[in-house]
Parts: sequence; structure tokens; C-alpha cells
Amino acid sequence: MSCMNILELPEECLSHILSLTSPVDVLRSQLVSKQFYLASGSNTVWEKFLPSACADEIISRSSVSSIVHQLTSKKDLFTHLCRSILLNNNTQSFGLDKWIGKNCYMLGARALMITWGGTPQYWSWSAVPESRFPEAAVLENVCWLDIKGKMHTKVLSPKTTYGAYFVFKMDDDNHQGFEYTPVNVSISEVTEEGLPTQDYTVVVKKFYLKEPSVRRLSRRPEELPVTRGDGWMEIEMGRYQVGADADQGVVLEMSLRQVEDLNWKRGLIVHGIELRPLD
Amino acid sequence: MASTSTSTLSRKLILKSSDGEKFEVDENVAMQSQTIKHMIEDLDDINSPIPVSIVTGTILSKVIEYCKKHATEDSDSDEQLKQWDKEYANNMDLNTLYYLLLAANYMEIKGLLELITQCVADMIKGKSPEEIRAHFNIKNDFTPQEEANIRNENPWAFEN
Repeated sequence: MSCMNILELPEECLSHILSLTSPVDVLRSQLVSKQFYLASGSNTVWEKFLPSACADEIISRSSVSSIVHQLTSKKDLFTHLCRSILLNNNTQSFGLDKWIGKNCYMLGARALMITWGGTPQYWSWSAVPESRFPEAAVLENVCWLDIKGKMHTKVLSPKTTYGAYFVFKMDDDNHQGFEYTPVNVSISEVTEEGLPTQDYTVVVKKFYLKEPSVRRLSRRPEELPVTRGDGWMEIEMGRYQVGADADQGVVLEMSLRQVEDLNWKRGLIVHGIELRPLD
Repeated sequence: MASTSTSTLSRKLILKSSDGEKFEVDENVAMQSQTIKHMIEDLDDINSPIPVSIVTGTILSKVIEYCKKHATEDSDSDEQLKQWDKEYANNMDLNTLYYLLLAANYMEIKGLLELITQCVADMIKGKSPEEIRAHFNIKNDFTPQEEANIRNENPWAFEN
């Protein structure tokens, strides 16, 4: 049996091997040699990393769907989707996690249900430079703070644990009501009609959206928001495990509320709710 | 009737490797290969040896070992079978893995093909281009300029 090199395998075998690694492994392996470069560009490889047929439906709702459909190379389509695309009149975004190739989804403030959101004396809408959406919601003044987001689980990748994140900022010069009163966040599983599904336990978590300026009032780190790399802050509303085949008719409901202490609140700038894979 | 069905179950086939080695196997073992399955359908005399033209005796014996294990699926749990697969693949050197891959590809044995392909894929995972070259004994045939162009396409992939 003579000594063989991996480069002597048929190209489809090498492509098959690469398709069982991960997007980042394939991109790195391009540099190995010219033959690896050829094999790593094949559609067989990238088809594995692209989201299911359901994603085609998502892409068709995008404002750039005509551009996306022109991308015949699956590798180009993948790298394009890694940069996220805006959907539904630019109120939501869909993209792929470039490291593992799983679906990421974000509901912008305009895609959320915000109580009093249509009344300018309570909430206003403005363009924020760091936002990926045209508009963010700015809290002018409310007592009753109630924000909800809903998402079909079929747009998420199967067999994946997701974290749901409320992404926001605080107006440093003009905020009130978040240092001493925590907000309650939770995620729950509901049917398309909005009824709770069986055997799903809702966990409610408390967060202080603003660290108190008085130093003696120290908060535990798990009660405080985390700064993101993109100029926003976030809190983890909860985690959700998507099964092997996306359950039809299951909707995730993510909620942020403070309706027990009816103190006046202002200065919260809402970017949206993001769902991203944890593994 | 009963004796006919018994004889069908225990039917033996002879596989002949590219270097002339002959292996007698149960039909259900050989039928794991889609290629052989199709060959038998067209065969008038199943007593004549079936040529497996590109596979040597050394490799064919390893292929048969895999097929035998997977033909008697009742005896082991899924977990045990997975463990067996893992040890089977881990016992092969790189060169044998390549030949097994070619054999599984030619003989169309889906399970074996996936097993070996995944095994080689796991050797690529998490490695830098330099480490992959060293592991698989590959010569870099890019010019520094070509290399820089590829890095610039997706710079994030090359950051640590």
C-alpha cells in the first residue's frame, strides 16, 4: 500500500471533510494550499453551514433580497449573511454567527410591543448612530414600563441553546427610576394564539438597568447590565433550548416589565431584543 | 418454504480484492455496500467471486470488519456501537484512513464514509494553516502576495 497524501483524494472527498468542520476552520484551511483553497470554496461545503429552507423565506422578506439571490456562490452568501441583513421594513435583523454558522435574530424597537409606545409624551422615536435600525425608542417618562417581543422558534437554528438579550443604553444626563428599582425580565413559550404551552417553566430575573451612583449600594454583578462591543449594554433575559426539529407553532415571548413600583422612569433608550446562540 | 428462507439468510458471497485476495462473507454483511448490492442484482451466478476492483485485501478486510459489526445491529446499543466506531477509526493511521475513505466512497457504505470523513475533519478543527500543513505533510504553494489576499478576504478568521 503506497503512501498517500490527503491532496490525492478526489476533490469532493476533501470538500466533504471540510464540510464537517466549521466555517472558521474552512476559512483558515484556505491558506493551506491551492487545492485546499479550491475545495474550501465549493458549494457542498457552505451549503452545510447555511440555514435551512426557512431562511430562504426570511431572506425574501429582506430589503436586499434581490442582491442576496444573485449570490450564486454559497460561500459569498454565507459571508454576506454574517454581516446581517434587515427584514420587515428594517425593523428586524437576521444574520449568521460567523464562527459556528447559526442563526442570529434581532427584533428592533419598532418590532416590539411597547405599552404607550405610540404616545409622544411617554415614548419618542429617534435615530441613534450606533443602531443597526433606523429608529430606537427613547423613554421620555412612564410609570408603567412594559416591553414585549415575540419570535417564532422556527427562525432559530435547531439543536441549539439561545440566549435572549435586551439591548439598550441609558441617557447619562437624563435618567431616572432605574438605579433603585429593578426591572423583571423573563422568557416564556407560548402558542401562536398567545397561550402558554405545557411544561414550560418561566423564570423571572431582576436587573438594575443603571448601577447606583451611591457607592455603598453595591449590586451583585448578575443584577447589572454588561457593556457590549458596539456601544450598547445588554442583560440576559433568559435562555431557550431549540429542539432537533423546530416545533411548529411555538412562539417565544420575551418580556421586560416594571409595573409593581409605579415610580417615574425615563432615559432608557431601547435598541431591541437579540437572540443569539450560546454554544 | 422454511428451508428456502434459511438458505437465503445465510447466503454467502465471495468478494475479491484488487490484489486477488478472496473473502467469504454473509450476504447481509456485503449488502451494506450499495455498490455490491447493485452488482448482486445483476449477477446470474452468486457463487462466482465479486470483484471490488480498486480496494486491496488489507483495506477490504478492514471494510468487512466494519460491515460485520454493523450487520448485527441487535447485539449492541447505539452507545456501544458509537464507542466501537470511535476505537475502530482511532486505530487507523492516516494513510489507512485515506484508503478506507476511497473504499467507502467507491463501495458506497454511507456509515463508514461518514465515520472516516468526520475523523479526518476532527484533525483539521481548531488548527492554524501551518499546523494543518504539518499534520498532513502539505507544501505551501502560495506566493506571499496570494497568501495576503486570502487573509484579507476574511481577516477575522485568522485572528487568535
